[in-house]
Amino acid sequence: MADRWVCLVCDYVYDSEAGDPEGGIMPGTLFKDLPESWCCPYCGAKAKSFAQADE
Amino acid sequence: MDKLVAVDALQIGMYVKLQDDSIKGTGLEKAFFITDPGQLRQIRGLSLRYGKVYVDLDRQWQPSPIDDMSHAAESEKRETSVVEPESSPEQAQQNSVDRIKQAASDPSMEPKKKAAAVYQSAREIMQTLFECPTAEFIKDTKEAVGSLVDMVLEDEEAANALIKVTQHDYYTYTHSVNVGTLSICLAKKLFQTDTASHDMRELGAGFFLHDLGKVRVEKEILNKPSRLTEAEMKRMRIHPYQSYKILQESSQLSEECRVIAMQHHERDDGTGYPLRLKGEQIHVYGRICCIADVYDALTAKRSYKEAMPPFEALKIMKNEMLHHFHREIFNNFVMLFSK
Repeated sequence: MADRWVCLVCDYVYDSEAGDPEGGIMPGTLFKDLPESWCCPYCGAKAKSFAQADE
Repeated sequence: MDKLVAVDALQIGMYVKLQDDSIKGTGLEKAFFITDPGQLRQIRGLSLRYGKVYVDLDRQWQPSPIDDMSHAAESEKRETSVVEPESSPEQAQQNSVDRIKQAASDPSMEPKKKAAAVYQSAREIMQTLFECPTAEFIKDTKEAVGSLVDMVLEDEEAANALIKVTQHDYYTYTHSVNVGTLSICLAKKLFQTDTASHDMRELGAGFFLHDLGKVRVEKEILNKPSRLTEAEMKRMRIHPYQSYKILQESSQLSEECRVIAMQHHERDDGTGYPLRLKGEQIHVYGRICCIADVYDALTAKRSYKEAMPPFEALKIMKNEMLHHFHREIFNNFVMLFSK
């Protein structure tokens, strides 16, 4: 089940399969389970600026 | 006036107001302008009563003149650069720092000459910094900006001359000097009865360094000699956060001043980036930098447009972009040009 979310500010894609290791997020972490403190590693936007990527 | 609109009828530019139970757990805001097609997807993904949302018909967002004017399309031609090529970067940098300190504090130098010398040295220093954004060079820049700030605070005539001597070429480092200078002058005006509660030198450094994160954007985008595509513009949007991170990594600036880098593209009406802050959520230092930044972008030469005269830029900012800025701060900014 793909769980990919795109940052509307800068087009960065969060893919739960990859996670965000540099940001302390293990691979396999679903987008909805990201901590409140997490932000886009490229532009700093918060989860509210992400939309589910079109398949 | 609020009207219920079906999600399929929503358009970019509308101001939507969502219900608490619809947005619960999603992290979405309650009320915001739709400025991006992706937001339509976000809203359609919510569970909504009757598939409709409230829209405030009295509020409408339109792309702003500045959205189309991507930042400097600069070339890297060394022959037109200001830094002497023979010395090592460290030596050249030290020379420039010495020069700016000397000029800024020279009591016998005539204000216009002083301003020109200080401006030139500042550009040299910033050019080197952008080529090599190390903690050491950030520290040097801070020192140099400190002298410039002292000059602006103590020498009214030189400060006015400095505003007039700003050039409008393509380069990011020139833009940084311009925005830094204008922001310091605006801060001086805003805080004049209260300069003691602001670290003006630290603040000045923050203004000068707001765009440092551009070193992390691909050179092909920074140097593109024509308008940027949508994808390229989105890539550029990493720079406020990257500026913030570089400054954090180098531990050279206070958090208050790092915030300038992070917030200089936020807008009063919440349509800025990266955090979509609104009004009072934006720190006054960020608001100052934003105004100077927009002004310099409008007045800068680009490969696809001429430099706009100051008066025209201010007119556009007032008539078409006032919702981006805090009104009172903007009014004070305009007054800087009346001398």
